[in-house]
Amino acid sequence: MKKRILALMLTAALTVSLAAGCGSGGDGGSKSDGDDITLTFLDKHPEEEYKGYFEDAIADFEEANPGVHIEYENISDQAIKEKLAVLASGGDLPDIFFAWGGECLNRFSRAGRLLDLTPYMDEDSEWRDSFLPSFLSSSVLDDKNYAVPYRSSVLYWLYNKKVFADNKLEVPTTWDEFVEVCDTLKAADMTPIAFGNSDQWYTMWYVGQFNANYVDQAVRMADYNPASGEFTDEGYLKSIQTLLDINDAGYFGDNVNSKDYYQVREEFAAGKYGLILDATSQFSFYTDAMGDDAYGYFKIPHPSDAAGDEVESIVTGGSENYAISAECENPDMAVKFLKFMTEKEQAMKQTTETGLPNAVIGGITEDNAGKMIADAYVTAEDYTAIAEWLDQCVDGNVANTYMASLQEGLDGKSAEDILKDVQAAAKEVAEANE
Amino acid sequence: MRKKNQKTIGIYLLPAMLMVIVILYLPIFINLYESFFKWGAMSTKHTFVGIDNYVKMFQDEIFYVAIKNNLIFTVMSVVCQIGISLIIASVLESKFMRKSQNFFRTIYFIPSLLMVTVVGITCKMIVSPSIGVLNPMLERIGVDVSHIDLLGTASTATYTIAAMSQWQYIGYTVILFIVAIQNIPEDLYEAADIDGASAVKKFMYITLPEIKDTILINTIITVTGSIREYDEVFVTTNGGPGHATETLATYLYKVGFRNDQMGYASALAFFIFIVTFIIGLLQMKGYNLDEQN
Amino acid sequence: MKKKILHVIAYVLFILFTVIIILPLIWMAVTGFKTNQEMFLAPFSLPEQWVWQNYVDAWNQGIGIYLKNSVVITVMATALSTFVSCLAAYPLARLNFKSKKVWVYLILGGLMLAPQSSVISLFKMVKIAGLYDTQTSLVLIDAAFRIPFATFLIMTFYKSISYSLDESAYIDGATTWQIFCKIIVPLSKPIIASCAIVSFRAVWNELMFANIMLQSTAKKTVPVGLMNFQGMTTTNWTLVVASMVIASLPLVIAFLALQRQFVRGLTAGSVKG
Repeated sequence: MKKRILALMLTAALTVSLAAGCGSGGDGGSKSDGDDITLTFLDKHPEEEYKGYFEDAIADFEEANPGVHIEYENISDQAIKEKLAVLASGGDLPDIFFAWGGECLNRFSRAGRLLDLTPYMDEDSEWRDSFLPSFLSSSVLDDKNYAVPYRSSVLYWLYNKKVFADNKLEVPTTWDEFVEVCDTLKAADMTPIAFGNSDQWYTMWYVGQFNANYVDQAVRMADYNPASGEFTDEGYLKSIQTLLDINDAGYFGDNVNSKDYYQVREEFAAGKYGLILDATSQFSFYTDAMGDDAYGYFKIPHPSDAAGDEVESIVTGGSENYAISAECENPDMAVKFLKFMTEKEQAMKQTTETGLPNAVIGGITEDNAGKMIADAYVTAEDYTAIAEWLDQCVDGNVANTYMASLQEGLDGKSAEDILKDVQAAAKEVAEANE
Repeated sequence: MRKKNQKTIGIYLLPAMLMVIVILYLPIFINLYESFFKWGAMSTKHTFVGIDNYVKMFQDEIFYVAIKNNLIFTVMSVVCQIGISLIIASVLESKFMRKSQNFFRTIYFIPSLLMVTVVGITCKMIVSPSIGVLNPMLERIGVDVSHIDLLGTASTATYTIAAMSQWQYIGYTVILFIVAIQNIPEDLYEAADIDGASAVKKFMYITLPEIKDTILINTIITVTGSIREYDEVFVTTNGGPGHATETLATYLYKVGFRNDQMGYASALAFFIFIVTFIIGLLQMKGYNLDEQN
Repeated sequence: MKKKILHVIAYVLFILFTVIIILPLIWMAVTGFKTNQEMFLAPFSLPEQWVWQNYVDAWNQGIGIYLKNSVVITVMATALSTFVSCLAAYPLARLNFKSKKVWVYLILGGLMLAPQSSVISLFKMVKIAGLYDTQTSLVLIDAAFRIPFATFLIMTFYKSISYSLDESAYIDGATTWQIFCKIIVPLSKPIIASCAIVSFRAVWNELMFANIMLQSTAKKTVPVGLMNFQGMTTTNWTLVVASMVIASLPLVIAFLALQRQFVRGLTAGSVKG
């Protein structure tokens, strides 16, 4: 009987609240209650190894700023995409929130949903200058800053030192040497490259890097912009073809579409492959699984016929950022919080405690990030440009088309047909964004 | 019926109907309205485009792939979750099985209680050609497995996912059928026994007609479930390879949330609703609303 | 004799099917005891060392709180949907009135709705109603999506109850409500129970609405909580499997405990055959 009463009450609650709610309208994220300030903060680090650090940092900030409360919500990166889309469509973004760089951020910036941070950075140029410039630039649209990076990553080839030693291989520095390494491993009955594409995103690391090698910067930027994307440069075709050639040569092994990243990286760590393409943010996995001495990294050689204007100086990578909603009622306090989170000392603490590489100049040291990552960041200084992750720097429609068609490409679809799909998607997106 | 009953009927119906109309139908009609616009969650633009989204839908190749896949799910689900389930349920209800019925039906039901994610992970591991167990098993019985990659090949992936779904849900409809069969008065069977009817005859002439409504309901549930198919695809291939395993619901979700084409997604959503509703109505022809003895 | 052989064949088939069902279940449970490395390098061998750590970690990382939230939401949504469905099914099955067809179709139509298509509109409605980040919103939505199924199932069962029972009750002067409470509902216990368990399972595993409608970490349900174990590049899969095994246990136990309520075993009252 109790159940029934409860149920009846709930139904009544629905009716009443719907009726009552219609008049009240939505309320914004932040509330000022007297002197007290509440900021909402949506983040994506719920994993046990990360969340403690963020909670502590928030507590420290609140302690230093009495009367400020930060409502922290932390959900997984799988769930946050939908969550942000739904929140945005409901007109109710959190005051401070996580976003990947490139188009992920730009679509908010373009729609006027983000607080322009430029005035704050003009006022405090030290803040602007503290970031690694190539990572800060991923959140710039029309010369305005819309977010700040707190985490950074770049791509490298990793190799298993024992496999290389067993096969008497040298670390390759050019594309031809790279191909030679693959051939030698293949001749030794080993699959050269650890690659699994059942989740579809792994091809984007390859093609994103090759696009950056083949296509001039200005052309690429125009194509990655949803309003003007065409993808007609022949470099895009060559880039796709390069990936398909690697696959056709058998360097990836069989059944690439049913293996996934998790499987192949475990297998790489166990010595089943010679090479894997991975980002510095994942180095800690290999250090844990193999030890610092068992693997090495090297810069990604560009295909020998690649002649984009940034071919020597660019690497794929990206930042993860925090942005502030344009509707935030206490922008000054929100900016203050971001400054606190990206302060060098705090950023270094982030790297020490969580292993997430920060994005401030001089923020990565052997002490806080370990030898491999620290070295990799020194090596990265050779690069002057960062190509944002391809799946994040273009419109979602283009990215999904790329991924789906490339997956078919690994199963026989031609590079021309794949590019046609991408061009069609880009055209559709451009029409929608006119 | 007496007059005052009109009011009584209202009281019985009100809570359920209120919830269904407000929570289930209102959004669908909001969708219908939204499907005439081009809009995205992120942008503030909301452009009226008439029936463009519907035109686009019928020109979209992936849309037809999705329909084909939904049909595969539907056919496989009806065959397994109605046909085979019904046979399993009636055999379990036979006298010689009664003692072990509890054991079997419990085991068969357990998979349906699991989260789809964990079932998906398990399925991926089992059929994986590189680390799975299925291919080695097939090899042992003499099948050439060098080209068998069930989830990684466009032509087999949908069937594999559908098969996984049957593994999970067959026991669920078995239980529903058992409940229905148990509700058949025992004396019908006793009379048939006296006449010396065979088990098959009893099944055809007593069981089937008596549980006709349950069969109908289970069919409607299975068919509509197949047309809304989402979870199993999402956790195994997420529509891949390419778009080979895309269903209407996964496609709708991608179009809306990943591509941010909410207007087009609304059109797809409304289409799914209309199609399933019509199928439901057709199936309802067999359902006698005013049956009263 | 022929019959005997058929019986044996039936048993063999059923046992074979049982094996097909059970083996993957065992794999899931065993995988929870492995390390991530073992899962990918030797997925089908027994773990070298049986580690409880995944199960312990899964529990420590908040499954406890998530379980509590999930229990609250699932029990409330199941009770609500089952109760209103019991009510609604009554006139639809046992009374005659003009607009009946309309209501039946309305319920039927509800079965067809893909939740993915409603999520944005529902989110806006929930915001307007001021129910965002409340468990009430989730309970109402989850319950509403279960109503069509429950009503349909219960309605069919009501129809199979002999009409002479209410006739004689009418003659004795009973009201509709009394007939409903004293005759119909008690007789329908098996179907109500099976309805409840089916709804329970659906609500328990529901992910999308739980992710969208709730914001506070303290209110998260099990499926949303489990999503937190799956990052794009940081997933500890054996932990995921272990936590899903833990998350499914309450359902399996509830089912084992409850099933005799709705499926007749060899219990009293059913030994006619």
